[in-house]
Amino acid sequence: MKNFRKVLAVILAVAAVSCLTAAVVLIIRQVSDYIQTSKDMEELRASADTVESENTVPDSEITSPPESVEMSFEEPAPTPPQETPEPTPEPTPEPVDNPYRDSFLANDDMAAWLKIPDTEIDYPVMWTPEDEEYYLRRGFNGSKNDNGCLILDTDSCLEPLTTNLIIHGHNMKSGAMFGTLMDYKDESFFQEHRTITLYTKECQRNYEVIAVFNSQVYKKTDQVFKFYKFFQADTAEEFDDFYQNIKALSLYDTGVTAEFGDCFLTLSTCAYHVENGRFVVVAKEVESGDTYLPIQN
Amino acid sequence: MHKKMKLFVSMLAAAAMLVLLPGGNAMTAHAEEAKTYSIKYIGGDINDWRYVPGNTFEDGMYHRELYYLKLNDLKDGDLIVIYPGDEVPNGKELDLSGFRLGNLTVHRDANVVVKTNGIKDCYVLAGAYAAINGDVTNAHLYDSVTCNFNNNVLDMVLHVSGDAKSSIACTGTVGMFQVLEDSTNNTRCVFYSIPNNTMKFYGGGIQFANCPSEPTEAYLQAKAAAGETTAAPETTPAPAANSSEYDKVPKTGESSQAAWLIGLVGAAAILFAGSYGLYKKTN
Repeated sequence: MKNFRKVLAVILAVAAVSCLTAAVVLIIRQVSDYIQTSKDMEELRASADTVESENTVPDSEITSPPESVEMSFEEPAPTPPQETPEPTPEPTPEPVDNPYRDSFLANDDMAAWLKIPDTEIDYPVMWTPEDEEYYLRRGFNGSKNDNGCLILDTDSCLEPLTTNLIIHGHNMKSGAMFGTLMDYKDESFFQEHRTITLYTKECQRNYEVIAVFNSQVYKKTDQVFKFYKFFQADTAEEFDDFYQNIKALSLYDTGVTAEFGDCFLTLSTCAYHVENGRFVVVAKEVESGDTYLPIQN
Repeated sequence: MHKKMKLFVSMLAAAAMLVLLPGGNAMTAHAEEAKTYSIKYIGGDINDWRYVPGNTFEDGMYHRELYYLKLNDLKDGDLIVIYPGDEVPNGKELDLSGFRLGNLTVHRDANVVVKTNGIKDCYVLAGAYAAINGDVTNAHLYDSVTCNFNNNVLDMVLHVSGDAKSSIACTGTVGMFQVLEDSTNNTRCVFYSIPNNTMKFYGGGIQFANCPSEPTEAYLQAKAAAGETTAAPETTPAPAANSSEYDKVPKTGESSQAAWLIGLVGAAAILFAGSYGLYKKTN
């Protein structure tokens, strides 16, 4: 009996040490995931900054028009009278280098780069139509990482562009990925961060936040508004159904409106107000930014 | 009372250990349906076989590397369609070894050397140029193909209309070879139990010694065995929406590592206490 107790005591002690070791391994893994994500992202962001600074022409290189133009004393040739002056064509902006070209080249699965200025949300967006959740627990380089990557819903498409692009991201306590998206619950945060930018292979798409709301993943049989089921509006009715629902659900009035023909960007992350809760930020596409030169190796 | 307390702590520690045993709290079952993937050779910078899910592979479709298919998606019983793509360089085999396919269809004018662990139903369409590795249960060839089977084929049917123009060979055994007039469904000829590496069909005629034109015992046994072991993959009909089933949306919550951490530390404390209690009691 005494021996049995001794053996049991040793077994329990070994099990306790194993538990502690497992706990330490978990902590180390979490920290290393965070460090790895930060490191990878810093490298990609630095490369984007370099290209952006190359795209920006220094002031000294801008040739200013001559201050005085020599006047010609010759009689100008008579010009035929014109009934309506021809409109001056808008100057087409020259395509520039894609700031995220190195990131696009580094991984074919990258569909875009999402950035909310002055926030931590500044990450690549991955798109793997054959396996939507491939990057849900993998880093940009495909290695296991609990932070995962931002993922573009497989029913969304950039080319041709669907009415709604849905991006899913983890709500990490560290603030990584969409860990800070919930800051949009605060209207003052929205006022300071109204715009969202999506850098695709072809161009820079700018968005303005239109609605911020709590929602959830519903059961298949539930006949309710499901924001995650809206990707394409072929009729005004389909568009209005989505638009009216997001405006009704919005935690505050953003003052931004939309009409049939507009496109949306929806950012979704887990929330814990209900089971399978989601916190959602919807933005409407506004004037596009730069167009980009084709990305070549 | 003190004794009872110690016993309680020990029991609690043992229970904690059981809960923390790997997989002790996770039991899942998966029943997967057969899926279809389309494969094509893409030249240029890619210069490799690429695939898309589904049974079409049109230009401009988003396609992925083959290793990804083998690593993540492909499983025994799946269906593969090979489409004609860019010119396939010598040595660029389509390596699907490790998988027994439910169906392999080589599309018109496709050119492929494919390696598999076996195929249940193989269709080689007119104009295709194929070399197939892996035992085949049912092969259907549509006239004007060039096709080599490098393993055994149980049933091989050549569908013709007019003069047969195909070139077919098999380095394994062929259980049954039948030439079928497609328009009338009449059998032009049928042979059973063609020995190893003798099946050759060139220029519209058989190039092997006469074989029985009635099913042999060996063939019937092989057929019965194949029926038992290579039944078509069950394609489970999509279940009607279950009222308790949720829509499929990526789960973007943080993993429950914090809960695990607390659980592990708590369990360690209890286990230490139990161990210490027992140790004190024995001394």
